[in-house]
Amino acid sequence: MEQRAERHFEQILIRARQVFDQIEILDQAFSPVSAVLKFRARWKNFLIAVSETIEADTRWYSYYLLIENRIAIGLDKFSDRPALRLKYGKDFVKHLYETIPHLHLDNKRKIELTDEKTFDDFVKMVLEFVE
Amino acid sequence: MTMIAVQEKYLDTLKAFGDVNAQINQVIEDYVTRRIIERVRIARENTREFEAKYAMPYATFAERVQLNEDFYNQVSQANPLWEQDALVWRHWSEELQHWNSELNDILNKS
Repeated sequence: MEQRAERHFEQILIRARQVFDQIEILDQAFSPVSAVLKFRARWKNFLIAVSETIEADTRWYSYYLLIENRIAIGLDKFSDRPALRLKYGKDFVKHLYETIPHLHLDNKRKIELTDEKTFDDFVKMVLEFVE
Repeated sequence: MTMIAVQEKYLDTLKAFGDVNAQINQVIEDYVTRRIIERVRIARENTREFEAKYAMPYATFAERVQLNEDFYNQVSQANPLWEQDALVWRHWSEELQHWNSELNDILNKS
């Protein structure tokens, strides 16, 4: 698992360095049970915030684009009450521990369900958002 | 049981001190224990950072942010990037649990 995670994070960092500036790795660690990558980057006047963890059978992510502390894009795969409510309606409490891919927009005032995203998907969204 | 190659020069000296297999296993146990303790220390340092920020352990945070609407809203308001913290925090909590369990296994077998 460690080698797979190492290769995966390396690909993310290669892509990040191709597109963004001032990459600052805040956390990167690997073990037999879990691996984590957290970094910040700048792009034009935007802040890029990325966290991702990999466990044996699961990938969790949080990819954010911020401008002046406001969240322009927030892609998460994590358990999230509003996202679960959107998916299951009033029955969402039966699914509270479910991880759900979703997208925060407009400083988290809007939320949309998504399919599972990759860091590449996030980069494309950032480029499209700014254009 | 796995075979491990030991250089002749060490083997001769080890024989002088008694049972070679027992000595090698003891050395490996000491080494692995030291490495695990180091991993536990790093994981503990990293989880402490988040425990101080959110004033609770990860298990409590994860449960409350899922089960308690008021808590979810408070956290989102105070830390809009809380998901980023939660992912990293989860990793270090899993690490702490894993290495503590490995350490206990070794200590219980000794």
